Amino acid sequence: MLLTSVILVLREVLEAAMLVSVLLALSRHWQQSINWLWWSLPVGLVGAIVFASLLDVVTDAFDGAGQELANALLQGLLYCLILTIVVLSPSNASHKRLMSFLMAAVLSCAMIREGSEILIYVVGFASAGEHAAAVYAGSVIGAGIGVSLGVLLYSALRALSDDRIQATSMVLISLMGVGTIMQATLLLEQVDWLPAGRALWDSSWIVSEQSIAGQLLYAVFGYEATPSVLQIVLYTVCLSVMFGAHYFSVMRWGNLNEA
Amino acid sequence: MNSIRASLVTMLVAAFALTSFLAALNGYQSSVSETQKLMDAQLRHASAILERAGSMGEGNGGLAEYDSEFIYQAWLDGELIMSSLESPIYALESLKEGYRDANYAGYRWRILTRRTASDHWYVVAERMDLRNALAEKVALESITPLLLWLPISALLIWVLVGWGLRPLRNLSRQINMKRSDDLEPIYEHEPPAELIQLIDSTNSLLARLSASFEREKHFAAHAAHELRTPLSVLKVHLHNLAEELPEQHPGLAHANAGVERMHHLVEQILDLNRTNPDIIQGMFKTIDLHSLAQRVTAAAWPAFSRKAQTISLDGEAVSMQGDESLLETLLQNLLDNASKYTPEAGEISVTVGERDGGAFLRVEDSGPGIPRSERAHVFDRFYRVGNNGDSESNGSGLGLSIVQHIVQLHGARISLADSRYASGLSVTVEFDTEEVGE
Repeated sequence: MLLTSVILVLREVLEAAMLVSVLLALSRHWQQSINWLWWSLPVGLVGAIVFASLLDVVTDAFDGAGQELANALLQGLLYCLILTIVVLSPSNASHKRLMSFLMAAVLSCAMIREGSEILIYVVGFASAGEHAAAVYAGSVIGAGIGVSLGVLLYSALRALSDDRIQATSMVLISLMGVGTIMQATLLLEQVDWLPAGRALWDSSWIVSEQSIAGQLLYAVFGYEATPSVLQIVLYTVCLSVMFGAHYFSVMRWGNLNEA
Repeated sequence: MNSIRASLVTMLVAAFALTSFLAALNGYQSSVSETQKLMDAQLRHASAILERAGSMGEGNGGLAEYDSEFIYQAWLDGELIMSSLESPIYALESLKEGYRDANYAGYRWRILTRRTASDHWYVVAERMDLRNALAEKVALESITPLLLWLPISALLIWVLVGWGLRPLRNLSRQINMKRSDDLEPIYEHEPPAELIQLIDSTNSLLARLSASFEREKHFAAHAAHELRTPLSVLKVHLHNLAEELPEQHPGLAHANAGVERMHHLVEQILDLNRTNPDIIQGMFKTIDLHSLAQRVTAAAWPAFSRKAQTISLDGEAVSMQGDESLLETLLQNLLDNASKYTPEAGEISVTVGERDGGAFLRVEDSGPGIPRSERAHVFDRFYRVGNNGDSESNGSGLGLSIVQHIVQLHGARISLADSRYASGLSVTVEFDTEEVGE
């Protein structure tokens, strides 16, 4: 039970912690205010509680596929928000308020989805009584590992030289953004909204999804040990869109600056 | 605000928590595995006890309260010869020696099958969920203290990092407490390697700054002294020339006025340099401000009388700590300005007193005064009110800069206001309480 709690909580906390770390590092690098953090935390928390308490209603919608669809929708929204940040990054100085809003929206969306999952799990199992101690201890360990990795990632990004912070953060946030599509595809396959194809390969013998390393890779780019063809295709397309959009944005902004 | 201590503590706590949690997980897995091995060994012991009981013809009927948790069977030649109450009448698993897991009665069971020399098969089984719960309980007991002690570790890290950063704090305090005119090198006993470079760079900067101040101190003084000699020679020649030229010769009057202005300017530059608070320290002693004002006012009387101006000195004796010579220069400059800018037959008053426990000196005149918008700039070097280059006033624009230097050296405050006359300026210098002598 403890290991299950660690893995479940770690998966959710790690994803949010890494997003916060990269966004914070970018904010600092762009010399922007980090006020977005202070109001997105309560918004995300309240959103997670509301989402978790409405779980029954959400789950019953769309012939029982409501929860997966809602989560997939949030993941899709996250991808779009991150794509916008990536596109606007070369001209961040001209869009300070918009950037702050986008960062707050990204964190709020991530917290609503991940916070609600943790709440549902912890409240559900802790009330079972006999496993409460293991669930709480597992949750503390999972959250501790996730937050620690986030803090260390932030410290590592801040330690990079100025010309490397931007590039590294952009790569990381792009991978995280595309990772959400991987997760959304999986959710939609689970409720048969997308055809669940045969697994293209099985890399669980190299990195198991249930290991700490597997969770780290899941948080960074939505690691899936047994991806379907559709997942790989969508992943590749979304990754190309993300990097392509960033490249054209850099080129366009560079040309505008030269003009 | 970025704090090295906060960043270091956050990073260290994160790294410590990460390794502690990973170690806890590792420990948990090991504990669970060891507990399972222990329970497997117990299962083997139970099987041996069962064999002993079977050989004594006992053992049928089970263990009452443990029946739902523990099952046993004994088989001989395919027949069940002994079993617990809850045991099925069939074999839990195929009769093959060793440990196996299997499902029965809605639970997962850990089964040990053992064959004896007499060809008896003994099967003992324990419920997996109960075994796991016990193993988890044991493992949790071992890792919970680690979680509870983590805040203590964080507190320790906070305190230790604070201690570790003490040399840096000491250095910054030493630099912060340095007086503005103290350009002596910083000394840190056995500085840490990380600070040696910083201390060396700061000391090198202080040395260059000190040398630069020395150059500035001597340059202005030397330049002014060097100008004095040719000016004196010029004056002598003008005096001789006056003997040969007719009286009231316009060229001579202009030349005399020019030389006088030059002489005044040189004296003012010397004074400005002599009073620079960055490079000199006052010779402080207890003085009576009122008698000082009396002396200076009396000495300035001829200048006032030439313009038929009235000068008055009010107030009472007040003693204070100050540099007598510098305070004389301060009042001379204030009176000089008052006389210059007040028209003929105007009024000038000097007031000395004590207010809020501190001495004050005020000079008021009935001149045109200074517009409020210009008051902030009058202390700038070479600034003249109206900046019209009016040579009539013979001002160098340095008088109030010198006054401000002396005010700074005494830690005093200077303020400009309208005078008590119909028009004019009031200049007040207020000295701090601690500067007032007993």
